[in-house]
Amino acid sequence: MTLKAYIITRSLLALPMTIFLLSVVFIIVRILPGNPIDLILGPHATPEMKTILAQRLGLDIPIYLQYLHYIAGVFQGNLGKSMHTGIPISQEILQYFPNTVVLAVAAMFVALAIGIPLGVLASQRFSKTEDIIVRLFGATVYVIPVFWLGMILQLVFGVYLRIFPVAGIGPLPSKSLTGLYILDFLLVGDLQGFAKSISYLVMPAFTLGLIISGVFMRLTRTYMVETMRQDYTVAAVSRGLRKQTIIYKYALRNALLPLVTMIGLEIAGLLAGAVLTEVTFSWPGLGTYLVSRIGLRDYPAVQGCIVFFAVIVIVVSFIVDLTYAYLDPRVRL
Amino acid sequence: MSSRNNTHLLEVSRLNVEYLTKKGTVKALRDVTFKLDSGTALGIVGESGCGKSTLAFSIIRCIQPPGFITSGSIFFDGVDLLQLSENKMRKMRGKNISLIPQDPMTSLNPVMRVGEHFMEMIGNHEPHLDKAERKKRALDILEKLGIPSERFKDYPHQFSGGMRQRVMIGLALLLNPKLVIADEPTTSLDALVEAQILELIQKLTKELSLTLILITHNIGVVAEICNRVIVMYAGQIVEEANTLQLFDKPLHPYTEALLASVPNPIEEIKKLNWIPGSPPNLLNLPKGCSFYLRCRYAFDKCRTTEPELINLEERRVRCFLYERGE
Repeated sequence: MTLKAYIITRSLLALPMTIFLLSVVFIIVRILPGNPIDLILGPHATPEMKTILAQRLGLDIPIYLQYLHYIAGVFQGNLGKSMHTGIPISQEILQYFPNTVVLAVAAMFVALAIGIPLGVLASQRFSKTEDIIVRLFGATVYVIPVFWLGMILQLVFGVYLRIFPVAGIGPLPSKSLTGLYILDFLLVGDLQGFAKSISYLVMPAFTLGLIISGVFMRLTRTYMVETMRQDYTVAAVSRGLRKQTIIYKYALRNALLPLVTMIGLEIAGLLAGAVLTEVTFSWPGLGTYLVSRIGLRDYPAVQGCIVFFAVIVIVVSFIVDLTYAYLDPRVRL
Repeated sequence: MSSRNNTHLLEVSRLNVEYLTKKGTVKALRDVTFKLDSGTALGIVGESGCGKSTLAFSIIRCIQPPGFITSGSIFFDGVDLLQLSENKMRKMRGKNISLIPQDPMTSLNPVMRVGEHFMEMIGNHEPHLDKAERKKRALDILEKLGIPSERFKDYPHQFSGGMRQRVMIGLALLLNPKLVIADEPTTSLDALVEAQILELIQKLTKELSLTLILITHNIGVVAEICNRVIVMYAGQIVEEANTLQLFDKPLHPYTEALLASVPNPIEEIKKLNWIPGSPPNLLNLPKGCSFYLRCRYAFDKCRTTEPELINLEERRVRCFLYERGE
């Protein structure tokens, strides 16, 4: 299959998925008790005021028309305006999303940095004490609720030990160049600001990363046990190669191939975890934005966020497939 | 066998290997004892599951759990390999003793260029050589094997089965080892390529005056390449002889049956000769000789007592038929 055909197929598959997702979200936000009009106007609003607002927000027309208008809008790239602020949703998303990217990338880095070495260790000590401890650790971090871990870390390292700031994102750089504030610090040359923002990033990234690391740890272990048994690894042992060479160039490199696919699948879990982490650490990202707009029943904002998340998952898993093709010389698209 | 001081390149004595399985202990090798002189090409033949490959992997100490070497010694060049530290043993593998694996299709790292396999092996064993020197040596051996140098940068999946086995042979011979063990090197190749590969092995062992252990279930291959043969059955050596002697006059009933089972294309054959029955279950070995149930000469003693290997001048056989004084 050519790359072009591949992209087209993938996009066509993504289309019905996105429409289905949009429909579900559209229905769910409207089933939720409470409506945006009451929340905006408060308890003392008159019926006339309500009618006028409903007209202005487009909530006065039949619901199926609202649905059709919305879907049509989305496919023209128009996510609508916030019922709360009146600002276009796309603009709001682009304002908050870079902060989520910083958190997610840092968390993924932590997850891989913890998960892969522990998985390698467990596979080398298969069925021995170290293996059992690592597996127990993997299962434990997998079931810990994100917010609970976050709050414990806040309490210990933020309140008692005062090593890291309890919450927030810290100061932002003087100029916004790329939108990614961490990069901007470096581009502006503000190393002090950079160091400071890292100190704010450590706890949320570690919280989210640790939770996700369990999956990578278990997968690395399983794939490594598998690749250590393969003929090419046994042949490498019979050639008298060093243990490090065998573990990293033979077993781990081949184990990383399926792992890359799993990184792609974990993006959804990462974003879901990011929402909870952001709320716990008052991190001004898309997760915090989404949760606050759910509270306000800001229909277009909630819908917009979900569509955006869906597109991210689709795009990232596509990028991961291409990476896989790059890593495995046998797969050339 | 006449003792010739300590000049044997390889001396395996009373080697026992067991696999611990859920059903019990599988005795894969039982008291395997043999000597191998420099320059010999030794063939080890037997049916599937008789312990041939286990023996190959034992010599380079690559038996993976649940398999264990439970007792015995393997002297190579006067050193007991079973007493070496893992690090010293590692340096032996590939450098002094190397293995040509059974399946070349799966024995190369799929994510590494073929040339890198050679470079890496030289780098691991002779780290003092610089990159240019490593590459020169790698290309030298590729040339000997008839692999064009422009294929150095290709990946294993771009090679055919025969070419991959050439690569495996190249890796095995790269560091001029004293002993090369070929573990059924042609089993997974088609007949035409098999002939080419065997010819190549034969040519190179002569050219480089290597000592070879060729493990195979194909006794015809042994006749072509080896000057000495060990026949194994159910984890034991049942017969050892010079190739000519063995083909001329097999002593053990199993060897006899094995030779009779080779189809002869010259004589018109109505049906294939095969050995009735199947090898004994290594989990639960019968008392007495392990071949007696399939043996046409079996008598009472075979059922109750296990025969020892009997030395007969230049050969050995594990059978009561050749006991002296009976």
